[in-house]
Amino acid sequence: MSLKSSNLQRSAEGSPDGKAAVLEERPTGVATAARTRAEKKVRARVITQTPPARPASAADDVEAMYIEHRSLLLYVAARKFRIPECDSENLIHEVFISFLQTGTKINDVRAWLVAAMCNASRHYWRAQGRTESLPDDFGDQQDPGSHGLADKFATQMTVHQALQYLPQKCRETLWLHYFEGRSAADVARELETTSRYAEKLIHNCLKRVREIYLNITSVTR
Amino acid sequence: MMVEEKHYDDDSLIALASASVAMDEHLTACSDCRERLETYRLIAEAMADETTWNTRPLSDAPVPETIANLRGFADRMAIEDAEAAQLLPNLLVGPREQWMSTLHHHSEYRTAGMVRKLLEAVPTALDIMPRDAVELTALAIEIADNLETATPQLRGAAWRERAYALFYTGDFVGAEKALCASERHFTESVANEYDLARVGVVRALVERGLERYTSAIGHARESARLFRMYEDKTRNASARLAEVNLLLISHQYDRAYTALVAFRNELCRELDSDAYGRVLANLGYCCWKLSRSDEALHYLDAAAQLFEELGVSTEATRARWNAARVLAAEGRINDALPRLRAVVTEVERTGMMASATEASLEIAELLLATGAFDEANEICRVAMRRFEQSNLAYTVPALTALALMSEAVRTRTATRRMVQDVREYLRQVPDQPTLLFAFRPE
Repeated sequence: MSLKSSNLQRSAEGSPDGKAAVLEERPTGVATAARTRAEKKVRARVITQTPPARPASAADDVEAMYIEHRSLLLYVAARKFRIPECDSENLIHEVFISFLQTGTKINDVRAWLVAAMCNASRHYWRAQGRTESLPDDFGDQQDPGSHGLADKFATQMTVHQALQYLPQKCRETLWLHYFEGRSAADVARELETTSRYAEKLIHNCLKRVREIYLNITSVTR
Repeated sequence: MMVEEKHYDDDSLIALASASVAMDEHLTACSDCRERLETYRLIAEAMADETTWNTRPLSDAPVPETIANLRGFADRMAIEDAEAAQLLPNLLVGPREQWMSTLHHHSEYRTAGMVRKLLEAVPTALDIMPRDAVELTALAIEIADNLETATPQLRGAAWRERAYALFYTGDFVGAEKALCASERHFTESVANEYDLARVGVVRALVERGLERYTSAIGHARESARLFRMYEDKTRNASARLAEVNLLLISHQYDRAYTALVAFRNELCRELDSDAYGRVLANLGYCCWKLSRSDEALHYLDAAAQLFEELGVSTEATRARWNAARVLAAEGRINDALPRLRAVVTEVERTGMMASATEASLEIAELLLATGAFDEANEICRVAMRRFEQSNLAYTVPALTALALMSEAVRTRTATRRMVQDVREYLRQVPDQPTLLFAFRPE
């Protein structure tokens, strides 16, 4: 028999309709899809214009992937699931080991890693639950939505970063309105000012966050 | 407030972002305003989450130890795989009955790389010689289960592939045991959902074979949910269509219709065109079974057109064939006949002779209803010639059935029911070459 084919795309469960999965690897990160697409185009052009280089080894690939996605994965584990940072790093390692062994092409690497990170984080707390008490809101962390997790966490991470650039008063205003859900009138009372001014402040602060957010994600407007 | 050129200003967009209002005409048309609104919504949503406000600093720097470990693991895998690729042909020398014995005499084959190479060889082997594929998985398991350094993922993958190979060869009970072993191994890993979802799809297939439809539907659905979480669109679509297929097999047409409509509404015709086409084709079939013929024809024609645009001619033909069947079932013989003739031409062109015979007999059945016995008899003769030329294990019994039908057509005593009997027999005889043919008593 011929064993020369080593097509990993057709694996056991992928074949019920006899279709091979044609999946596309794409670069990922906190940056927006627009930026990613633009980068990809540039990269593709560079590849076609330069002589063939030595192919990157699997080790180089995984290192590049780790560096690209580590911040987001750490954010998911340490912030979203409140796992201590050193344990989070171990979970990131485990997630990458699983990724390397999937034996199939993954079409959205970032989404895969983020979903696997959530999976590993829940596993972590289940294991911890046997020996120590869980965080109060463990229930909330069981299933943080089911779709677009990577984008959601990436946005949160970027907004978190953007907030650091704001003056204290602006951060406080946004916290009161968007996190605590207070009305402009409530915010005005808290800040001892008029409703009209509070509303203006909320709008201006949000506009500022958006500007910083767009700068971080480098979207050309 | 709208400003010049009728764009929204930021204050208006911020107000809109905090209200759940539907898109107005301008927002629908203006991508700039829509994107600005979407960004405000995303930011507002992020700020409603406590995590965003956590001020505890996180280390930015990648950890050198993690990098070193991952590089080491990837390098080891690459070296093992390269070595295994060299050794694999030596392990698989001779008939498959010898392979296990060769493995027992050569410890150098016992590596994780060899397990991966054996598993990579399974899909091709399934196409050529399924029993070889089953043996390949036996070798992979023998190595993985006895290899101290094997990871749970490696063992789980070996057992999952075995389950599929056993399912493929009809050993559903063996496949089910293999699935349990696969799940047991994957459960040891901390990031196992994706692998378990893949096991779930095989489980759905196996349970379909065991006619445990309710449970199979549950597994397909759970796998689809997990694939969606991992944004694996292709596997998500396969799992959802597997669920639909199970609903159709178990005659739950209403539920299948609901699931298909929901799926169609989530897909984009341009971006997910292949899945979209399959959903349309299934919707057509489902509507046919729900006696909604006009809708069925609409969906099947749309599916055929889409598959044609995509160059998936076999699926386009399948959709057109089903559309012809809908028309035939409606009694619209004059509409059905040209469509069926086109199907026969198309499947003959692609060399699918069994399908060509099946479609021809469907034409013969309609011709009998119109009294066109001569043409029906010609169809019998062509079908017999096809079987004579193909010289299959079941050629003789197939010829017998067709000869009986031809005789009845020639003497003008043939009925549509007789043609149906022959069609059904020709469907079954490839799997049961010793099956005898007889017309059902009238």
